[in-house]
Amino acid sequence: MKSDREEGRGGRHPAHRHTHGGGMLSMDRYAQRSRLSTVSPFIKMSFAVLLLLLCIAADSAAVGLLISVGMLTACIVFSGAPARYVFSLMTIPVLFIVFSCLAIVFEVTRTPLGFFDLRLFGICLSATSAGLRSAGLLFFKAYGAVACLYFLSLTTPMQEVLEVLRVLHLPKIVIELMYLIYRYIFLLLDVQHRMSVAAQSRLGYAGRRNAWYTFTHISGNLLAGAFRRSGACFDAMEARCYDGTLRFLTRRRPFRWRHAAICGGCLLLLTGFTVFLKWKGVDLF
Amino acid sequence: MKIEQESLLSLQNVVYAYPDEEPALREVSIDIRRGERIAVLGNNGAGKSTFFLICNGILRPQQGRISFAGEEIRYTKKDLTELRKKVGIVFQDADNQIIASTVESEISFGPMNLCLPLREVERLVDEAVEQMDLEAYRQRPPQYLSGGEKKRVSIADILAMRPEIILFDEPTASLDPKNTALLEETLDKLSKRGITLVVSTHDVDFAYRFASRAVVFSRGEIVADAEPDAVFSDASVIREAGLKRPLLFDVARLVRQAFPQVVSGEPRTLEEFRKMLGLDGKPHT
Repeated sequence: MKSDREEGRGGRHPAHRHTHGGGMLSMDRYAQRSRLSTVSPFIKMSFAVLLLLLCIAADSAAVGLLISVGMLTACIVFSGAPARYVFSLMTIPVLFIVFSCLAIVFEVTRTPLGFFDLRLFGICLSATSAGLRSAGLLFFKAYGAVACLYFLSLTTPMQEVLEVLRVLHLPKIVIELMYLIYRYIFLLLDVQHRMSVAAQSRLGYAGRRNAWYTFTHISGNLLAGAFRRSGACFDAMEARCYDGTLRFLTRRRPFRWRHAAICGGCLLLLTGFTVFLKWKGVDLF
Repeated sequence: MKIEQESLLSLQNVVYAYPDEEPALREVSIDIRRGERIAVLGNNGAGKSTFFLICNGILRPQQGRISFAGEEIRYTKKDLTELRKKVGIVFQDADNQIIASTVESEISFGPMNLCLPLREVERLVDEAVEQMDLEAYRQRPPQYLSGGEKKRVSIADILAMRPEIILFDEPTASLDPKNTALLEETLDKLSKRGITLVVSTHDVDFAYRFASRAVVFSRGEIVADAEPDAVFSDASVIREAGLKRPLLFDVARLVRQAFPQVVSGEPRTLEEFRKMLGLDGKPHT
């Protein structure tokens, strides 16, 4: 059978055209298409995790900034994710991080201490310069860490991450659950999308009352459908001699010393930079 | 009944009822012989899917016996593995069957469960990939495949286990005309390679083209089991099972009626119909 091969090629994934699943789905799609897919997932994962650790351990705003800029550039330039998408990803944690940082800037005191004070019922919310500094530090550290995780998500497809976890001897049950969850997320999203389109076509979302009604019913149907489907899936697995352990053949990406050397080099450079900053006692502020 | 071919799978007086329901199969007996192309016809709920699950050992009949190549199945683990290896099911909804996160590991699921050496698994997967023309999709996650591609993967899944009989549960149900034609080609190829095929379908025209034997289910019983021409000639069977006669069957009958001295024969395909009309060799218009 030589059917819709042409359609399936060139990154235009036909089954995907209908799903508008937003962030996570696009993330998966860019990871599958990443230009760094030939790099061993071991290297990519250790690189991301080690940089993340460095970012936290360095405790320096300058290092955090450098790591986030570097990682995002790598996602765009080396991995081939569209710049606009990567920036939109970076706006997701902004609100979260900004609010946490605000909480750190202000201190609750009895007497005004800072350069800006807010008096409320006898107590005082003071923004101190020390608070401001630690908030800034936290902001860049958090952003650097998030960027490391984005790098991993945008360059390494889920099946390869799972393969690494399997080799690292994560408990089998966890890995198998992750496999199945990853597979069924897409099926459920697809069904959910079809149901909500059908509901929309009957004005299911016109007005808040209707929207709530539709939402609850779609959720209920999804649950019922998932139960039904799980039975059918189990039958199909048994039909292929499933005996309680998921076994798949997986091809390993070859470990290339060149890739390891490049990543190791970057890590060394950054570590050196961090040590230098600490020695000089310099930071952004 | 003719016994010139070797009997492969045979069911004797099989009865099966789902909990708290009317029996889905009542006293079903059938002998499937090597190399046959059987079309299983009948309404929804007539017992076709239950019949398939019984054939593969997923459901255990409450009464009756099943034997493969003369050996009775005793529902031990060994017997079941052997039966499921020899009798594969391609399920109607490929999404219920596909569980792995890449095409290649998906196809390996069956052979891996048979606990074959890795080399052997790789060879079987390579073979199935080649037969279903999936080379370009090997590392592709199933959620980015089209319906036709998923169908091919679900067939490759079963081929990799080297079965002697393949049961197809409504394989044309969700395929477009192009993919349906490709599926028919595939079925032809498999049949030529000596694999026994049992296909359940609502498409009587396809069944008429494809089958060497038609089995009709109605309310849990086999109401007809003969050559397609004999089955479709029997008005009472057609009525009871709620079937339709194939268009070509009716047309040929009308032509024979209109020109009784000139034409004869029971054409199964358009080509045979042209031959019957004596248009053989003349170009299509």
